[in-house]
Amino acid sequence: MPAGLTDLLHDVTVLHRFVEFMDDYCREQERSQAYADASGFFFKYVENLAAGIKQELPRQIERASKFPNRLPILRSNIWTLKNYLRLLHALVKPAADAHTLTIPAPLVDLASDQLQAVEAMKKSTIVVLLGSELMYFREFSARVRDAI
Amino acid sequence: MRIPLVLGQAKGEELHRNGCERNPVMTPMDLQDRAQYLSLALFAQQMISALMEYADEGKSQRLNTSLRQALNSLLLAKDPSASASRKVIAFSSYEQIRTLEEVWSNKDRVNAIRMMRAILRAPNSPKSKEVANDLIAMFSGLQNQALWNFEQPKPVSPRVMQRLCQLA
Repeated sequence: MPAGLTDLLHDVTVLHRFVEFMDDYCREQERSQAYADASGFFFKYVENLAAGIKQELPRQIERASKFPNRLPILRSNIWTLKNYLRLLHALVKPAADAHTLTIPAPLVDLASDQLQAVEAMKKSTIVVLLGSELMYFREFSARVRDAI
Repeated sequence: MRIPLVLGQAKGEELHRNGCERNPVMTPMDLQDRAQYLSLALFAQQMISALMEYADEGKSQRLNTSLRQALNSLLLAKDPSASASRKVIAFSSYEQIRTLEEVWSNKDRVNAIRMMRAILRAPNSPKSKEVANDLIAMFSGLQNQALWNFEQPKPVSPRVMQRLCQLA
């Protein structure tokens, strides 16, 4: 087996584990909470993406076996997919945690409608995240309450 | 209502005190600019996959659409007003254009456009497959640079930010 192919197999294995983890996490969230809003679509998107990547990985290995000269490029492709999952991973937990918030749904819907009025954002929806930045808004609302 | 502004300043001061420009852990707030680099890497990957299918296996189902999209994006990259009004799938943001300029010179861009047009004109020619291999190498360089910038994003300098604000 060429050395490059071993490296690719290693990358594929790591990516496959990562995909499995993300897939399981999203399915678990859907089982434990009822997400009827954009968060539900987001988790479904990650699940569909995970299924697509799992189908793609064997094809990448097959191509690498047939065309060893493509190995460096195929490894870059794997890294790109892995980084895309890393990016989604940074969003998945804050999206799952947001179910603990009392979300002003009409306000979010209004913002979503305004967003969709922009030509390039027609199919966009707003996923509410619970991150460290939101804590400031909590503090702010508490200050407003105290001031009243 | 000043709270979000205070948040930005406090975060900046903390980073300055720690002596590092960027937090190595990816946070949702950090994603906005990084996502642009990754979007470019995914675009390059889509191009490479279509070109490899064509060059290695003779399949051209995805080739035509992918090449036309890339061609439009490259042609509109030099004209920001045109790209704002039309749908382009790449080279539509500061981060993406900066990455493009880091990897491809003006001559490279002209060559890439010429090569894409050559393949679109004669997809069945054996010479087009050689051209496809050259294009694969070019898009691979672009993908690698986009991945590098995703990992090590460079902050926008105040001078460039000023220029961008004047252009907006």
